[in-house]
Amino acid sequence: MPELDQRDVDVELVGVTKRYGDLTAVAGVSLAVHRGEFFSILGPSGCGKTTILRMIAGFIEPSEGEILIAGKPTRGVAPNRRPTSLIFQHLALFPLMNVYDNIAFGLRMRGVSEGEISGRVAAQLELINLSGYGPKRVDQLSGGERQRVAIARSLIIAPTVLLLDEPLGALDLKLREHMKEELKAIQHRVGTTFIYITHDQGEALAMSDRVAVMSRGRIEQIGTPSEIYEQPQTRFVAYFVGENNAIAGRTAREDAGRVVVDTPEGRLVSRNPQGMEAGRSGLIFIRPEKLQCTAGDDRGSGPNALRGTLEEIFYEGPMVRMRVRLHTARQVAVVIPNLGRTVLPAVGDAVVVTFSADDAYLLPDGGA
Amino acid sequence: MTTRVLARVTYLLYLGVFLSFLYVPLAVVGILAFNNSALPQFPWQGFTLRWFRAIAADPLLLRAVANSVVVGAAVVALAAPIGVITAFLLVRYRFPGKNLLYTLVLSPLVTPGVILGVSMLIFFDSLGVQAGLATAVLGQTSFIASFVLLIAAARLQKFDRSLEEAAQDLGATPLRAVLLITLPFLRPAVMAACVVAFLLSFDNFNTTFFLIGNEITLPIRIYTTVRLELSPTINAISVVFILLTVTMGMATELLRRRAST
Amino acid sequence: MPRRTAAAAAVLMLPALLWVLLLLVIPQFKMLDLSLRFNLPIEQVGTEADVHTLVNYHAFVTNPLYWKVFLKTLYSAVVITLVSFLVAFPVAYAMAKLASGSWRRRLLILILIPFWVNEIVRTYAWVLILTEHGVLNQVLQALGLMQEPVSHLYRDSTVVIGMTYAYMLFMIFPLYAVLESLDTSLIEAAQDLGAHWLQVLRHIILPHAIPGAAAGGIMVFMLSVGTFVVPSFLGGKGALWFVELIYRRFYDALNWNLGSAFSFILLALSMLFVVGVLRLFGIAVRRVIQAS
Ligand SMILES: Nc1ncnc2c1ncn2[C@@H]1O[C@H](COP(=O)(O)OP(=O)(O)OP(=O)(O)O)[C@@H](O)[C@H]1O
Ligand SMILES: [Mg+2]
Repeated sequence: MPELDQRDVDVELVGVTKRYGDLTAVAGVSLAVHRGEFFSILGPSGCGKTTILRMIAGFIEPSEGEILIAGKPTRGVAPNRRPTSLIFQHLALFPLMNVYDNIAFGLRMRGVSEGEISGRVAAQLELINLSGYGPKRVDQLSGGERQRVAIARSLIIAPTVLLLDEPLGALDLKLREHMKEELKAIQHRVGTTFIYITHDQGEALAMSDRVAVMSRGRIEQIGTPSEIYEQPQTRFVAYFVGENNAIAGRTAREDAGRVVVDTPEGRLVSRNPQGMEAGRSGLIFIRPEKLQCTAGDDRGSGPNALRGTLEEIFYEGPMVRMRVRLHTARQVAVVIPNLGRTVLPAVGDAVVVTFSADDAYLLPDGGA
Repeated sequence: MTTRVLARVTYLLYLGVFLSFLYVPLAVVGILAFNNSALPQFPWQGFTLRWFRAIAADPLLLRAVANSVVVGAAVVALAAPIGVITAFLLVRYRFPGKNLLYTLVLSPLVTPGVILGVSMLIFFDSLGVQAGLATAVLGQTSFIASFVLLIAAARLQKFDRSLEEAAQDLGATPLRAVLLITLPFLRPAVMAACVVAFLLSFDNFNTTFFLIGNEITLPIRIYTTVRLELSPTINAISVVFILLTVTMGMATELLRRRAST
Repeated sequence: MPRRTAAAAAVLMLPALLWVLLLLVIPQFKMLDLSLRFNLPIEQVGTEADVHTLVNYHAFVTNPLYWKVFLKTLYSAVVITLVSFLVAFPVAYAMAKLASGSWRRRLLILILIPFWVNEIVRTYAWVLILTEHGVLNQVLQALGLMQEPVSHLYRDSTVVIGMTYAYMLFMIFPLYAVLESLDTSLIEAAQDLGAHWLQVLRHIILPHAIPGAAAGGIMVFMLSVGTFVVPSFLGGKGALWFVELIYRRFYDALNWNLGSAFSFILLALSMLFVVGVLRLFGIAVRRVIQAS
């Protein structure tokens, strides 16, 4: 497809809305997925992820808006005529066919000769490291093998985009870690655009080139994993992705991208990504691993220091997690790497929790 | 003896009496089929197979069996597609009047067979259609299709729709997805339904009786013979009949068991 | 519904509609219509004389022969249904809860085999037993309990026994199905809480068995009111049953109109029975029918 539009967009959603009666499952979603990108959609259960994927695959039509695949509008195009392929949550391997016939299915539908099919299926089996598995029945496969067969079955028809609906959801933890890497590696090898749905932020952050975070049918933010993690644009993203401490307050003044906020804990300084003006109420977010915790009650000279008592220590192996009760009775979580040599304060000690203004950010109070 | 043991013995006794009640009459029929006596009654006069040979010599009986087979096959050919297609309709689609249709297609299961026979006799007569094998086939189909529907619908409900969607996603048209994925999944149920349909047809008397006209099927022939006279030939043909239907019954059980996995 | 789904539904609807209309609805309406007309000589059918009337239903109500036979049939069917339940319940319970794996299978097969034997053959068996020179009399004579053989056939009681024998198996399987789905630990829990076995039966087992009993009851009742073979073999002239009345209107008396009225009354009765049972026990139609 040489004469494609700017920036090689493979899939584009323009104001896509899907309603079921009174319920709006997807509300005005717009996004563009680039060629070869690993694009994740992350959101809690019921936020409309599957609905978006099924609209792209063609199983349901949007109530409003348009979906373009490789620059072409798709309204009215049946699933079997779209250059997409969907990996179902429970894989949907055909139980009455063996591995070979499952993988060959798409080529047979396209009238490819059996001679060519056998070569291409063998190549696919090799790609997923299952050479020689052709005659096996699908119910004889392990979870990870089934996963890979499902991927091969979709990839063999060389879809423009591969759609994956929480494909790792059914696997146990260990296998999930392994398949994460495997999926990423396969994507590298074939270079196909992946749209990947998950409610597991670890998966989304680790595998994706970009992530769209959804809530209640809307896109909250689209960005690279580090943008999503380090610079949440909305309170929802701040709370949903990773762990966060939040401190409510009112802005005193703002200058040069920084903002000074009056909180019950005293005056705090943070970034001001939304450019909030003075006199507005908001929440300062700061991640547990960005906090330092030292014994004593000396606030020192830095701007952001909170006094409290160490209430609990959780030893988590590579990390040590601490719960500190501030003097306002608010609790904050602090996570520090377990370097082995740091002398930790003891439970019950008075501690001071400090952080850098660069690591904290203020988001408005109202809204989601 | 404790009351517990007493209760157990009573229970076993009851089961024994019950099973005897079931089997003694059938045993009487069976034994008298081999009795060398002109009437189907005791005392025992010696073993013979002549009543079985008499079956082969009775052209009417042979014709009845042949008709039963033909009618059964025709009923399967009609009831199986009707039942399976209707199962698809009722399991897969929502449409106005669906509940009414559901009630109507299941109503033959609780309608006396005589009523089905009488009403169709009247209907076909008003159309000027002669009662015969064809009307018997239609009459039987009217309720046998309901059985097929139930068996097919139960299996279809277990089908994972995403398999069909996966096939479409890989390039199959919706029709091809059904043919290549859904129908093979339904196959054991459809096979069981076909055997059930044949068995029900082969066995049917009430509906057939009113719609068969001057033709005969095996049950009709046995009925008229009993009305005419008591003869050991009836016992012999009963034994054959029992063997046939029990074999078919066993087959349906096996197929159903396979279909439910 | 998108257009292609609607089109597919319409195509699938076709066989169902043909089936329902041509084999069920229209014939039964025809039957109703015929029952509401005079029995006219053929050349007057369709002329002005062929008007609607209740004369056939009037005949049913006013002729004691008709309604007495009807009531007897109805009454007997109810008795047979109840007796079937009483006889079948312990067997179904034994199969579902008392027998262990292999015995359960054996018992099931033992009960299925006669179930597959045709009703005509099963009734014929009773003819052989109950005739004048039948097995029963020979046994009684051999035991010295009887001097002169008499036929036990052609009595109402014989017909009732024959029907019970022929149809009680239809009660066992639905009962077995529901009892099998009863969690045994419920029974044990009740016993553990001190319930006597009669209390367990009344409060745990019977309530659970109701859908199966309803399904089986409907089957047995319907077969009993609708049977032709059993009264014909065992009842003969001495014990007339309602379906025989219908048959005679069609083949001997050639009064299809009256026969249709009788048929319609029978149809209405079985529908009422089904609806009544379902109302009584408050169960959805489908669940019961699918259990059978
Ligand atoms: N066919 C339908 N009819 C009515 N409502 C539906 C239908 N399909 C989905 N919904 C509703 O739309 C909303 C979004 O559903 P969707 O399946 O897209 O969520 P999801 O983000 O994939 O959730 P999960 O993570 O649990 O899979 C849910 O509230 C769901 O109940
Ligand atoms: Mg989902």
